[in-house]
Amino acid sequence: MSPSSSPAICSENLALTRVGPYTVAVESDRISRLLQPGKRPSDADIAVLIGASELVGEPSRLLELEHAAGRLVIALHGPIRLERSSTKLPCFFPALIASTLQQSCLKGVVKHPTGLAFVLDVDRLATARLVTVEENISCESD
Amino acid sequence: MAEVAYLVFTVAGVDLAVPASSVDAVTAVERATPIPGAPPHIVGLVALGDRVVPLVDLEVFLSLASTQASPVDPLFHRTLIIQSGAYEAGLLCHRARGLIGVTRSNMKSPSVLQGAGLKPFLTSELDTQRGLVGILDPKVLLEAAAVA
Repeated sequence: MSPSSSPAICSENLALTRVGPYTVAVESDRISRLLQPGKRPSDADIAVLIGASELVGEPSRLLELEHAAGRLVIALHGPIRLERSSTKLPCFFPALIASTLQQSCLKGVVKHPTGLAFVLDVDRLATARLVTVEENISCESD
Repeated sequence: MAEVAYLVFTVAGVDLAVPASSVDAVTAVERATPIPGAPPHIVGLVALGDRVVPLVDLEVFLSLASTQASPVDPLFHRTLIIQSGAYEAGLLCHRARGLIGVTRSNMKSPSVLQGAGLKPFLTSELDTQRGLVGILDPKVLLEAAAVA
């Protein structure tokens, strides 16, 4: 695998949210609706997923996402900002950190006007076996 | 005997070198984007042209404790963008020294640089006018730096 091989492609429409020092993106076409916390239980918490739960407070909103086999709900801890690009965005997946990204159910990194954002792999999140370790939830590698 | 070009750089007062053929660029990086769940030696990502490159802190990765009385001015800090096999990374160093031509007969087996964190990546040592330079194997280095 060449490190300079063509990156995957992400949707031109992204929903961005901050989780501590990280910017996480969800492809907007995966979003079915936005919910207030408490309306229904969440399937995952974005802060726990990327190991930043100590850096954020209580969930402020829920995001219902569509995946290949249905829907899931993730808890977010900040506002969502929608960004639209004129073209689909290259999604980089550096081999050196491949395992790190996969463990957090991230499909890669995209460039956006204010920096780099990590793109959530919704299908991987939905199908990965979830392991609860000391209240943390992570994605195991297949 | 043919000379091979090596790029010499300094990390925590130790002069090291990699084959120049493995170096894609030498640049100055001001800010890196942190990576969720990354180990301490991978300090972040940086966008360079049409790529996104992970940065490896060699001082941490090679367990090099600085022996310098005065730290190097951050203005001199450089990042070496290297590629080997499947991996690409930016290696953070305190100073890039430049290129030297080395023949095989000038190289000797590592015997002075014996730090436990450095030793696995050394292929040879080289005596230069400036002092001893440790020659690193970029393939072995990047494979070890990659997150398993």
